[in-house]
Amino acid sequence: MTPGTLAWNGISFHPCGLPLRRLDPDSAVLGDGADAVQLRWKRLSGPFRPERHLKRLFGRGARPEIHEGSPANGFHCVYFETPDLCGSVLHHPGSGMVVELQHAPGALPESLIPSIKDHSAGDTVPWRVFDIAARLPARWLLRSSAFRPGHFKLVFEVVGRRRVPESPKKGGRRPAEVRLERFAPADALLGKKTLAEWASGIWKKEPLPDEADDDGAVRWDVRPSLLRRMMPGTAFRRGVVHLSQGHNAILATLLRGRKPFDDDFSRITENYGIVPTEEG
Amino acid sequence: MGLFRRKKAKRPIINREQAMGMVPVRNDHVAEERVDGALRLVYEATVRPWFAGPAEKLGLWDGKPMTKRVELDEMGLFVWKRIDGHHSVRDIATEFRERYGVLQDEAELSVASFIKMLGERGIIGVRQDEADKAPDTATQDTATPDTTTSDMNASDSDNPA
Repeated sequence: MTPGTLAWNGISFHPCGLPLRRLDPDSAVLGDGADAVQLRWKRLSGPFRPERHLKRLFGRGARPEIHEGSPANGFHCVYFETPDLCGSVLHHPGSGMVVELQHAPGALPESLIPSIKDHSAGDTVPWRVFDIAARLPARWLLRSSAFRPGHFKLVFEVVGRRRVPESPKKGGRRPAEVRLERFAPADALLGKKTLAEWASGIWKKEPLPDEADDDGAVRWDVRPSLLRRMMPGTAFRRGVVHLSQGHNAILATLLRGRKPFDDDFSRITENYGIVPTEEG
Repeated sequence: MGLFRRKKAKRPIINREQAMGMVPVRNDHVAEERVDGALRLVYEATVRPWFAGPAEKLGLWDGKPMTKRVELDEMGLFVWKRIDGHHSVRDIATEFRERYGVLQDEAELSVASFIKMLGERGIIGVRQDEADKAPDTATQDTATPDTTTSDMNASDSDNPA
């Protein structure tokens, strides 16, 4: 992926210099004011007709002019236009992914639509936002995200047989959870503390070791007894906290679940890191 | 209840660009004190506490402004040193990004929220840089476009997921 590419919940695109102003699980707003571009996406099953989608979108209001666009990255593209609103509807027949863009006339950068790619049908899904990048097995779905200055956090839940991640919590067994966190600036946060000392102050409930490993990372891996595994609640707890090489940031991967998820955890930690941004 | 609602003073509406071009200026009445290497700002609280009336009547308070202290961490000190009446918020954020290796947006948000906190306490004020002064500051950029929305669940799928 080129620097600056945003990969989020099944799709990726290049913002083409527009600042990211809002990011929700299935939508994003790039740019400010009249230059803003809104993207929404969803994976659908079954046939999809853009004309009927636009009819529902506009209701009985202004009828948009509709033009067929050239396919790009496997998407079929339809453009629509009203005097004060333009947009596009992209549909990937293979995966069922539908992406809708809305913007003011003339506000869409030319290279934005050709940069949109669908990743929802793969075994693993890329995630790339601001300066963090990760790749997770497709069964891990985004539950929540928070991007505060100095602290980014992504929380994923594994797709279970009995619950979907969107369902409200009703007690009982919690689904397995992976947290990816990024703290910066590392030197100011650590001060005179070691990474292990600092981490024990942040994740107080985690069974952190007193010292870091030889490679400088702080690791823990709690594998409970068979009896403990049969009892309700989270059984396995593991995590890695390390300083990102060449970047002034601390990266953390934490997993909690009733299974160890060995393969998933090693794949997630291998692919989680800091990536160069366009400004960097 | 509308009759008794207190009228809010009109505040100037400025956009993000104008806000980042503002120049923070220190309050001359704020003192600095060093404690174990850390810097503390000593300032007079600008608000009258709720207990001021009873405390005055009981002779527990002479009506003088309360002195408060705020201790700065390393990053706060970095920003405080650059509040000199010349650096704009954007300049400080750029230097912050270069020093700490964070993203520009991240630096701008951190610096802006810190400056806002200092401003709320009366430790600093901000003035608009002459070069950044817009003819009409009562305009506001909206963060989202005027978009039409519909539920994608209700999109054209004969066999919905």
